[in-house]
Amino acid sequence: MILSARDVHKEFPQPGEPLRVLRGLSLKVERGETVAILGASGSGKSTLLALLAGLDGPTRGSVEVAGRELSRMSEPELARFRALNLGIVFQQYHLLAGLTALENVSLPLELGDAPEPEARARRALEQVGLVDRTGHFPHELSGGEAQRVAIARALVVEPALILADEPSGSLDASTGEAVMDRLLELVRSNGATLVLVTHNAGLAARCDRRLELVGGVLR
Amino acid sequence: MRARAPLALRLAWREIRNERRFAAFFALNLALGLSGFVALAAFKGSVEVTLDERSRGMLGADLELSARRPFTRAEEAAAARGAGPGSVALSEVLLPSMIAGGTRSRLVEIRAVGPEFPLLGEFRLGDGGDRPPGAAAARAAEPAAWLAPGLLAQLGVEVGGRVRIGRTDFRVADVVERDNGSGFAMAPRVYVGRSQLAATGLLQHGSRVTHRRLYRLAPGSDVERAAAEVEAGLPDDEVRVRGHRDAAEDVARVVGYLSAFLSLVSLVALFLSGLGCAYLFRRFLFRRLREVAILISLGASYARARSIYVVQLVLLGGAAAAGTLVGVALAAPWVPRLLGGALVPIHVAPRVGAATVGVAVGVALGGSLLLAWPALYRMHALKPAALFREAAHPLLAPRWWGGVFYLPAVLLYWGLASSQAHTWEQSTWFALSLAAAGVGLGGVAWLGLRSLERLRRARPLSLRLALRNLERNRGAAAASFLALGISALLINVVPQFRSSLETEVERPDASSIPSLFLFDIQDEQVEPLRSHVRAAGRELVQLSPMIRARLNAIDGERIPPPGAGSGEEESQRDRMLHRAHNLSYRPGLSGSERLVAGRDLRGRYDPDSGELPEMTLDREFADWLDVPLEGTVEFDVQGVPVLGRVVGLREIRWSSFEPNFFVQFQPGLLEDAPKTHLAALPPMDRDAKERMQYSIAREFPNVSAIDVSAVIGRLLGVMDQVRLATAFMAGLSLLAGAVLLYAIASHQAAERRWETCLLKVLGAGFGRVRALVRWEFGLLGAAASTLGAAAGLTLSATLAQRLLGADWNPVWWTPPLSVAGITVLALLTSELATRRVLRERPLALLRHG
Ligand SMILES: Nc1ncnc2c1ncn2[C@@H]1O[C@H](COP(=O)(O)OP(=O)(O)OP(=O)(O)O)[C@@H](O)[C@H]1O
Ligand SMILES: [Mg+2]
Repeated sequence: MILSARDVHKEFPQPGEPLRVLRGLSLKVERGETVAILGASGSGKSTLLALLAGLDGPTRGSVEVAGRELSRMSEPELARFRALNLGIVFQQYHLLAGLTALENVSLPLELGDAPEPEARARRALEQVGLVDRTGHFPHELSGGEAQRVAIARALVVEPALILADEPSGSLDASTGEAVMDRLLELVRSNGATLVLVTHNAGLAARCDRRLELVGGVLR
Repeated sequence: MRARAPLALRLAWREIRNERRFAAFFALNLALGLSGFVALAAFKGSVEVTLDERSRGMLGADLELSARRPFTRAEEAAAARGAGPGSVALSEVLLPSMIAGGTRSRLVEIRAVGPEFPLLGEFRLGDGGDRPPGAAAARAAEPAAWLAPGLLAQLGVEVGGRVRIGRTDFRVADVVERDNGSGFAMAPRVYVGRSQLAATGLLQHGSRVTHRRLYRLAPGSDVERAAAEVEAGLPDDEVRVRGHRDAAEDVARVVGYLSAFLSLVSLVALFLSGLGCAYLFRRFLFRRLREVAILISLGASYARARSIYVVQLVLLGGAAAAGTLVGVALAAPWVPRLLGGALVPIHVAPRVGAATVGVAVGVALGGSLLLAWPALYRMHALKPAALFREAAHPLLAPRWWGGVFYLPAVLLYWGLASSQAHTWEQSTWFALSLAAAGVGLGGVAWLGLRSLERLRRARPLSLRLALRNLERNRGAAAASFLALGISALLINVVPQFRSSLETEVERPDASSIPSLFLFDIQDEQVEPLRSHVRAAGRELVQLSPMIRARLNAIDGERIPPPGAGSGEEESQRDRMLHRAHNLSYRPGLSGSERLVAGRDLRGRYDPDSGELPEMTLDREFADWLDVPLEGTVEFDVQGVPVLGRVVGLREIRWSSFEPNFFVQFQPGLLEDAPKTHLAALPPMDRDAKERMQYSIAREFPNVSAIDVSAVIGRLLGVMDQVRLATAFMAGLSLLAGAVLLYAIASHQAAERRWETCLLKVLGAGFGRVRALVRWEFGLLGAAASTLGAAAGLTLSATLAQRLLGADWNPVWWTPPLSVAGITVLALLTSELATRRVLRERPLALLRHG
């Protein structure tokens, strides 16, 4: 098992009663599985992904990735763990504006002190079909291209787990479709695990498993 | 594979290149703040080095003995033994005197030298040739004098002409163009042979004569050891022994005081640039937070993310330091002019040495890191989880108590001030007044901005919108306000202060300031002098007896032997305790003093009353001695102990230039003690004054006269130099303020692109949008400079009263001029900063988003 979340609660303090977003959520994902998470806007899908990525901590409960409990790790350990084991794709791409496509992709490798970052980054860009865009800066890329660079960046470390939050949310329908095709294809061919948050039922249908976040738990 | 720089360095370099504007502003701002401070550090450093190198030449000897009386045979023998075999001795006598030539006379310092003169040091005569005094004087058939160059014109004589010193006529042998060994002189120097001094009749009892014996040691001797040995052989502490290093220290102290003052002023510029740097970095980092969050989501630790910014700060701080050092090195030749060659007897230009580089780099790096630290520390609270949400979401909220994280920077600053100021109190006062000015100006700005809410209904639309903008960006507005306000304060304080001093000392006829000071008047000369002056239709005023004494005990506690204390403040106190003090006596208070505690002296002292004689002390002197009201002080007057009781404390207005004394006894006690008299002559025109000087010099050769207005002239000269230097520092602060303003204005313009664009889409023309910016920054500049100028006026008034006891006499044109200047500067700066953004076509903006 690559991912295991047990009885996860997440509350946000606010005036009066705290906002309870996740209420005892549990999730188990096997290695190589692709899981789609659906749910209404504001139901807590992004919150869940942040917890799975260790970018935020649960109020209660535990999250284990690749056999390691995230909350037990120190901050630098967690950072290194993220660099080596996780790939994240955001809805807004979140490329570093000052770096070229190639540099953006090689960054996680360098942060994890992996060998040959440049060559591997070039290969990853090849996989998403952007070899001819290596020297472009993010503002010189179209939305679809930028998201493909972001996907290459998430896949380049060959992570055990990929977390994607509506990767096609900012793209028009056909471009989004193409990007998602590429993502699923690469995940499958690499034997990686994917947790995908989406509103798109069609996309969700292409995953091995579909779950819905309702009332703070997955169904 | 080619070697790659560490990731943090590469990313840092990338960011600097991508954020060129921030980088340039930050480094420029820091360099501006540093430059005054570093220039002074370089100047001070090279003064020290030069003094060290040239101290032998400056003393004109390796070793000096000096006393207010002739040396005894035994003392000379003991000194010769201490100086060791192979040493050469030179005896000389220094005394103030009048010198007359043609129809005019001047106060000069006579230096009567033995045939061995000069022992060493640079000594150069005028083009007239002739041989230096000393040997030449000893051999000359008729008395000869060598004059400081300016004296020829002042006296109306030429080389080969004649001057009268005391009772003797001297031939003017030559002028002395340069004498590095002369040290500071009260008045222009005149060199004569020692053997000719007796005939002048100047060496009467009580004259202010300094006897010196100078030694040139055998090559390779240890000067410090010799000085210690000579000192050990001379038990009388009236004989002062100095090695050449000690002599240089006196000069160093004078330079030290001046540069301490200027350093503190330069620290104001550094303060403003620090403010700017903190603001710029904060803005910058908060703009970069999204990227930081992305880095963290990709697997960078917080420490690693932070290190990227630390590297940037080091690079920028280093660039600022390097720029400053290059600037200082380029400006070096002009610095002596700014700092006044008149105050330093040797020509020194700042040298950028290792110490200066250390100071520049240390302050630049330490400063930028500490100023950035609060923002960097805050990064801890950054939650990258926000990356999953909308782009516009703020990543960090400011905390109201975040300011405490600036404490280390404040401490560094305070440390810098302490290292520059002479005492701990000075630096604390400096820091406190700066803080007070800052809090005051900032507070007023803040309150003013709050009260703008009431002006929401202001008439012109542009003004209304401008007020809204100021109100919304209170932090930025308050920062610019502070920078401009403090510059205005600085610009105003010195000229105001000088003007008060000037009017105080140059007050026309009604003035109470005397024209001449006469001193060393012997007892038996008082009546003849009085009638002499009366014959010229004048009156001797403020005639005061003066008795030299030493401190024996304070409040029953004996003064410890010299050298007991250590450290600068301690040894200063030590010197003061052991030096000779002048006592006087008189029945009542003078017009230039007032009683601040206790009571005035009560009539004559009655030896049969069984009570101690009464005395009143200057308040600061009493503070200094640490003697309370009703405490006792015992003096030693030529071996006779004199014990008195403090009954009152006086505050003396020294700037009245009336003679006064720290210690005044009741009459009836000291009349028979050996004494001289001091007197003043009321104001008179220049001709009358010079005639008076001349006739007194002829009739009473041992009586010295000091031309009070000449002294005041020198004082004003120093003030001018200080004013020039301060104006320069104020200019630096103003520049730092302008850079900050530019950064703020351009940043706000960029932030308001959307709004500006919207206004245009709604039909506002370029003119209206520009008017908005003009209102905003014009108001800011005008308000800040008005307040700063007002604060400057207040401060100068306080300084004038507290320091000079003078009436405050404001110069009315500086405040409006500074207000107008700073407002225009604010307008121009904002115009430059925003023009590009304001001129953008709204369509372009809509397309790019
Ligand atoms: N840091 C936070 N502080 C307070 N409330 C938060 C915070 N983060 C999320 N929330 C709240 O938690 C709830 C869930 O937010 P989340 O972003 O996880 O929703 P989502 O399911 O991803 O919605 P969408 O489909 O619109 O992206 C929302 O109501 C949101 O306002
Ligand atoms: Mg979401």
